[in-house]
Amino acid sequence: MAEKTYSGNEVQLVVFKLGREEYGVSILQVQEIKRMTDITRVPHTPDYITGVINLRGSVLPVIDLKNRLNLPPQDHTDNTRIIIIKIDEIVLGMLVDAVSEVLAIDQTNIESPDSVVGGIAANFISGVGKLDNRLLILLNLEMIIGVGQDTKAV
Amino acid sequence: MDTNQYMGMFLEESREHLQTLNSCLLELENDPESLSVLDEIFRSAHTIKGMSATMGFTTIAELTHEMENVLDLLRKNQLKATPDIIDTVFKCVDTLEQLVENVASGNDLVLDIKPLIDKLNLVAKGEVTIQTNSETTPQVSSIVLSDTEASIIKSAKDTGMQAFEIKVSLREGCLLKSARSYMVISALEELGDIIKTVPSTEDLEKEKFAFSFEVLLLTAAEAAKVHQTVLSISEVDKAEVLVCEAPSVNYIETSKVISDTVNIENNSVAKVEKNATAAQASSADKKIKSGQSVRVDIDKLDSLLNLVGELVINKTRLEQIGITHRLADLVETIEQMDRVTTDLQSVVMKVRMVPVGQVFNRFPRMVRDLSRDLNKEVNLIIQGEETELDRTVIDEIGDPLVHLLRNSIDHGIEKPNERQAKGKNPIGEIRLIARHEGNNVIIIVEDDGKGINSDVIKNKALQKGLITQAEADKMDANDAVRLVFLPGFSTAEVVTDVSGRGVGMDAVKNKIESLGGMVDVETKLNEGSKFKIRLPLTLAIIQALLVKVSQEIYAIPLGSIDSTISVTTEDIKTIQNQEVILLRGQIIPIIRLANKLNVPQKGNDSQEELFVVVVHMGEHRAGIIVDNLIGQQEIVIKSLGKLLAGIKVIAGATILGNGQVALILDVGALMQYN
Repeated sequence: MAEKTYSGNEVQLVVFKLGREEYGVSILQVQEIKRMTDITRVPHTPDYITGVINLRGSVLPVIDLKNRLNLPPQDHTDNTRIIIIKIDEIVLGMLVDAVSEVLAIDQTNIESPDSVVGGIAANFISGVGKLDNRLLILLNLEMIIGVGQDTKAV
Repeated sequence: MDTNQYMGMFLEESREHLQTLNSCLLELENDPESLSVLDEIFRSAHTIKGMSATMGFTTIAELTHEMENVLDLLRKNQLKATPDIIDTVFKCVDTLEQLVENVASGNDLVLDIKPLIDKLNLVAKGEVTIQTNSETTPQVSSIVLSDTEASIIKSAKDTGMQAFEIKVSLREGCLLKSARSYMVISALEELGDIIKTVPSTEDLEKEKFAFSFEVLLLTAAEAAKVHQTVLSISEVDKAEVLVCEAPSVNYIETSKVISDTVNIENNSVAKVEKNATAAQASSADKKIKSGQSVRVDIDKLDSLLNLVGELVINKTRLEQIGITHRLADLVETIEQMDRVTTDLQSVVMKVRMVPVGQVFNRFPRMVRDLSRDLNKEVNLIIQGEETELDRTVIDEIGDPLVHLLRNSIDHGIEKPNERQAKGKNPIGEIRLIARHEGNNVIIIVEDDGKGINSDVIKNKALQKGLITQAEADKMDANDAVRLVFLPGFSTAEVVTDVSGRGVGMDAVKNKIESLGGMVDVETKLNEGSKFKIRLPLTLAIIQALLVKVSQEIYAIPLGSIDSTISVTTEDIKTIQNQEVILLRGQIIPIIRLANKLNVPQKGNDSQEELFVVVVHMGEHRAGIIVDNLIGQQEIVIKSLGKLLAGIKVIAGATILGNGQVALILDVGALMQYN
């Protein structure tokens, strides 16, 4: 494949947990990570939108990532975090079970999603990263928040 | 001495004093004997003189000095404040305003103040002259091509394109010049590429030009077509289309005269401009302000607001710690801190808001001048000038309002004898009203003039091919009147033909809509017309009632609340399955907020006593059932953002004192979807 250069082929990921699975999003899309805070429910919104929070004076929507990915729900714990991401000028929070680390992974170790998952939320996955004996599911955030082409993918 | 660093201060203060002069002169006109008003005028004039002399603006100083001479005579009672003298002084103030703005924009126009000074000297001697023609400064400017631009034109020629130099003159007195110039430019852009404009597009946007500007267009279209395109935009007076050969001897010759003057003054102007723009950057084109003030970049206010928010959140955390660890000292300190942060928060929020009076206060003068020019008598009544609007909106709303007011005076209010014949008060009345209505600020311009004849409007629109006969037949009077907002409807001839408005209403509509607002018109023949501008309250602060439904807190704008009452379950009756209550003989439909918003209910303790918030939207009323009333509070409206945009019944969100988000109910939508 392509020649190996450090900066060109490595991506830095914020790794977090949903249930027992490990997920990753590009660190460039992450603005900050917040502890659990009061979330105000917003009526007449899809299920996966938990509500809105106050982030230093601005009101941001928070989505329940597990609900969006059709994973079984779980109570919030001390490890529950809200990852604030920014995509196409939209800033929002994602509710995750825990944030574990930031790591770099080589592009060559990322497999395209088609070869791994065929089932449900395949639209939401942009790839699977292999790291030693761990598997990191890389998310396609554009599709998840619905700024991609197909909003009602589930 | 390097005076540049004081430029911002000079401009700011000059504008303030000029505004004071304007309002005091109006007062003096009504009460020519008032010494205290005269003193105030004299003080302001004197300050301007001193400042401008220090800054080296001799023209301003000279004119103010002459003006002061006349004022001095008035003060010493050696001269009576006749209308003629006041007019002259008004004219001086206008000229001074123009001079100051020229300084601000780094404009190199030189105003000839000689005629005015002569006039001042004449009135000082008690002579009365009639000289109404205000001198117009000849507008010359041209496009100086850079090498790259010249080469672009050259290479374009090979591809069959041609460069046109288009000189566009807007009608004098045209309002919303920037909107007009924008329309011209976007129309031209459809024909080809715009290489350059003089002045620059940025300056055009900021209205830093008189009534003409030039555009260098690269297009495959014919000159005639270009000409036609420009002229098709209303309020364009003249358009000259010249073929621009680059680099052509001809062209350079025409531009030479100008480039000479430009070059000479470029040096000094460039310096001034640097400072002026710095002072202006934050304030765009706010013309006149009253009261002492500091100009602050709005971005700084935004970050200040956010920081205070963060402070509040951290304070609540400290509170929690104090309570869990039972630290009495800490709790006490936090209580004090609580008070300070609450105050701080409300102050910071208020800083962004400015009373709409800041825009309104220049209107009395304008109405006076215009009604006088047109030989009409008009009484301007201003209401609700304390209504607060976000700074950004305030800056933009002035021009459309001027436009509407001018229309009302020009086309709405009849001449005194006409009014008397109709049995009206010979003095016309224009009302300018601002108020909060639900989640909007409403600004109304209302006159008791002759109204708009919908049939005439219809015919005109038919003639112009803006609507079809079938459409015209279907329209009722109100729809027909709204045709005035159509682009292309407004041209000079319409104004003379039709008994109604039409000058640039499309520009007004564009502007309002760009602010996210709406404008509507109601009219009754011979009774008057009413233009209603509805502006959204983005970022505005409103009074709201906080209510609780189960565990959730919602805010209801106080503007749409009639009253709150408590009823028992027996008081609720049903009419065809619609729950209603009877309030003072009126049947009011009931909205159960918990159902409407699918609030998760904890336990099912149905209360005996229910709280009902009676709201209204226009003529309609409804009662909203909530679990509890928390209290009235000032809230800042925040948008829910793109992702959650378009949720019915929720108008926005606000952040409560404890950092929690509460949603604001859209009462109108709530009632509609009942």
